[in-house]
Amino acid sequence: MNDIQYVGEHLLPGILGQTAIVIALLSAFSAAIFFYLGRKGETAYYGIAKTSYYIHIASVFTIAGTLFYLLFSGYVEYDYVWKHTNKAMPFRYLFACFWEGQEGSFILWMIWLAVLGFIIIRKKFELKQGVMFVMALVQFALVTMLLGVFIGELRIGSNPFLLIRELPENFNLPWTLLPDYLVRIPTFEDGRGLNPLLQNYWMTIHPPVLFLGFALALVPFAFSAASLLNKNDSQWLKHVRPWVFAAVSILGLGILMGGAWAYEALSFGGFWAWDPVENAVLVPWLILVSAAHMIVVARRTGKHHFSAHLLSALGFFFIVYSTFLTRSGILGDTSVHSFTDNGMIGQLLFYLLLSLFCTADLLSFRSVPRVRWFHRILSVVFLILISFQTLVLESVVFFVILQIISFIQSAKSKKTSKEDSFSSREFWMFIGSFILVLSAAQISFSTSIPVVNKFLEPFTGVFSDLHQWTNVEIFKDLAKANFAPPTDAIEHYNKWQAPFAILVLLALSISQYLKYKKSTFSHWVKKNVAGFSLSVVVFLAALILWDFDVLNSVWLILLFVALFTFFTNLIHLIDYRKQWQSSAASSLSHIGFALIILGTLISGGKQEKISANSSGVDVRKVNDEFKNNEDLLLFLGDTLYMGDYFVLYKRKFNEGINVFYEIEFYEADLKHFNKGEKISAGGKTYAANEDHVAGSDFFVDIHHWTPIELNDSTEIVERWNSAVSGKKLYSLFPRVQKNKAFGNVPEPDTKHHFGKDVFTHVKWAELADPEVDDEGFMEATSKDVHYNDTLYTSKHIVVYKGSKQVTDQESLGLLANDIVIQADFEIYNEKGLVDTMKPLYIVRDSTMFLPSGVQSDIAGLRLAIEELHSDDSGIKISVSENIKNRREFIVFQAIVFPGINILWLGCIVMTVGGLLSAFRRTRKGKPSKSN
Amino acid sequence: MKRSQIVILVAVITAMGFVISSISDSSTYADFAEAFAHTEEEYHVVGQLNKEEDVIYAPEINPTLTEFSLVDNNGVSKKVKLYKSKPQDFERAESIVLIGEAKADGFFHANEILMKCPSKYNEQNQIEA
Repeated sequence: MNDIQYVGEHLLPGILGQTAIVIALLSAFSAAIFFYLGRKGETAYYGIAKTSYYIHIASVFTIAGTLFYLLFSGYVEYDYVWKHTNKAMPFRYLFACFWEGQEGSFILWMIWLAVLGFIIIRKKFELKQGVMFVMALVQFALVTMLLGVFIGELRIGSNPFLLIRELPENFNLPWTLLPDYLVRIPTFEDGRGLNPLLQNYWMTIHPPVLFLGFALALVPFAFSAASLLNKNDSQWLKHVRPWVFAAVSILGLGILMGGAWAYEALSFGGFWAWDPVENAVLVPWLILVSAAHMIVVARRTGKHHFSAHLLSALGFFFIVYSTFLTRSGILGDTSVHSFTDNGMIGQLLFYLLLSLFCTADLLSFRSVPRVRWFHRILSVVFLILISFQTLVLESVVFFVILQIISFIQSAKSKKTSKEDSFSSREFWMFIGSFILVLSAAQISFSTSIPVVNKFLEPFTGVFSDLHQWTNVEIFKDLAKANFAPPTDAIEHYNKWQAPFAILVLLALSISQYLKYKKSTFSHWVKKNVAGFSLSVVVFLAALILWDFDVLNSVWLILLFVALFTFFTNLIHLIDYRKQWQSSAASSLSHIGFALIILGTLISGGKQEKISANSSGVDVRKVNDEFKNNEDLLLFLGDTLYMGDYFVLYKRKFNEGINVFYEIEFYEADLKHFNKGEKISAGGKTYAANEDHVAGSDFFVDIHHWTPIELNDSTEIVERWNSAVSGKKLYSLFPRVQKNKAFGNVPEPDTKHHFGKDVFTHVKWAELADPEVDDEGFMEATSKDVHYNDTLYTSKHIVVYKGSKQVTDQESLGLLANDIVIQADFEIYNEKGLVDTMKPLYIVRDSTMFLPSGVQSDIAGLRLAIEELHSDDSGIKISVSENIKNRREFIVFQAIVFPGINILWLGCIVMTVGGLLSAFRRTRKGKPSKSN
Repeated sequence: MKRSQIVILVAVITAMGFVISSISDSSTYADFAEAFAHTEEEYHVVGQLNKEEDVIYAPEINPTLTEFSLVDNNGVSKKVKLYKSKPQDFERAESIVLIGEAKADGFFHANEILMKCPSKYNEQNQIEA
């Protein structure tokens, strides 16, 4: 049908890529089938399974290589290339272009899975084929995300190798029938390029780490599933531990890098904001951490198998769920991140439900077969209903309920084992893990409010009936099914997460000196005395160091428990330094975790918006709303006192697409006042009672001062100011990125000190100078004025002194029958009257208005009368100012984050600890005997 | 009582706690009609900037006050006082979510704003032949 010979297209790589996708899909499927047949260790199909998987790996790399080649060559006829790169793109950002898009990030995920699969295949252990079955199956599912085919209405995947003219939305548009469209249509000269906000090294390193974490999160589930497929719930424990710890460390590192990126390059003033995107990845991490600990417990004690399996499975499930949340568009309006509705919500939902079902089914291996089959058939019926888009929401709700019942059923049918003793390590590890799961559940629930609304939709009728019967308010809200996420997200999450953190830290500190099975109390007490005393000392020191008034009790308990965890684990680390290979991993991770909490507490709890309470505000302009102002207005060349600094807005300059604003920071030296020195404050004059050094504001210092009356009213008294500007410290360069395609974005600049960071970003600034006429006057604004009204312009105060009809208009060169009104304005500056201006309003022959504005060169002002109000209540004037009057300014925010380096140190230590766990156990293959 | 039962009990109670807290902390999406029918109550209002009306931002007077008009999804336009500096690229946002409350003065007083910019992630290819 389509035999147009298009000019200038490069079709070969696309065909190669498409073919590779098909081969990757088929080979993953074949590998899955043959690995499944060998799941009990049979070797008959191992060869063909392995070959299939190797073919799959090769295809995945071909897909990635081809896409990279397309981006590298800049073949903009391809949609993915056009959307994500352009000719000017430096090579170092090509990787960022690669995974900026959804398809590219799926490919990245697939590459990591292929690499992990390869590592697993090269190892020798009995569960290998079962594990590889799960890996291959998930790979299969991921490849379908790249298919880009339609089955009826349902879109299966999105293909990165489509030409723009092949996109469904462009199908048969007139331009697609032009053979030389690439040359004729200017759009195809160059691609759109990468969002400049993403053109930084974070975008190059953060996604690979995060997606390696995603890929690793599958492995514990694959082990668990393989073991359960063999109806054996302990077989997997022998080899899974390095994998689960690797998953925990890498995923954790990925999350923390995301936080560091947000802190360094984005302007939301902090590293963690409980945004849905952050939460979506934090939840599986928390669950994997508890899974890792329950795996250790199950291995050591032979108990808690069910928890270990369930948590490993849920870890993977929540990875899929986070993909669903962030890619399906369901979060919609709830996040500061923009989300795309990629039209694949159906497919994502299907995979999400399927993974839930598989988990439930695997865990129910001890249930009665009849129950199992009932669950399977019912689930499949619902899945089919959902696939055919009939009663989707209702089916999803019942499907989820069915899976939960299945989980409960399996939990009941597990082997009953003796309960843990309170004095055993495993008991506290279980408690810690349990709290982590509760914490994950809370985060997940609050993040899922848009999903909850969807779930409530089918039941709105039921709830409104309930409301009518019972008149209980909550049913009315439920019936509406339009809950919005918590308005103060940070407060909402902190309220729950702080107590959870306290309990987790308690478990971490209590359990470190406990032994598995049973420990003696006296030994434990002896070992913890030092740590406890040290924490008390440091805690008290910290309290003395910082003011009390901003602290609250939860904050204090958390601070203490974090210190306690830090010290017990540090002492443990030193105690067992001879056996560091076995003990360092857990101590280090826990030290790291405690440091992260400490860093968060200090930098978050003690952070200070120093731009908030600044002096030097023009009193005339203060209004009520100004008080809760957290931003600082700074004129070019002005120096203001802010926090412990003086800041000066030095200059503005352009560099590429960025406009930089240089803000100089100076030391603030507190002023010495001598006895009898006079100052003014709040409109009154005061004299000092004694020699003193100024405090933070005048009201703190008021006891040093006595109000006085000046004898000589011309005496000039300086305004009270607590400090004088000292020597220059440094300059910060916050900037605004001017970005045609993506909008203007402010980017912060931060000064890193050892003990604190000073973070600044521009909230508002004029990016370009305003337009002016030949004489340098800016656009006029209109205002209504009444008698004695005052107008503020940049440099002057304009007072309207009324208007009158002029009777001697002939002396002004006007006609005798003209009606002339003259308005009087007085122009003042801070020293006094500068000029008077008398614009005229002239009506000739009752119809014609003559323009007759006036200009004051001294004041740089133009005034003209626009309208006379008929009821004599005033006039409407237009005011225009000369550009010379205007002083450029910026509105900016500055925040001090104390102790934020503790947080970063914690991140590093925790990651090192986790990796140590992963690698120690790989090397030895079996656990060591210590602790 | 067995310990496992205690664990389940604690889990259920906590879960109920955060469901309730989540619902009570959440506000609701509403249109202006509803928000102005319940003044002083917090709502999320979704809409678009009314381009017919001026956006007033005078940082010399107050750097954290922006006044504008928003048309909600039912086409009702109301004046808004946003207690923030004027967001970058405000005029280009294709959809705006305001979080705040209506007051008797006829203004919707917003403390938070979320914006969706059309081009950031999913710009369609605009091709004209």
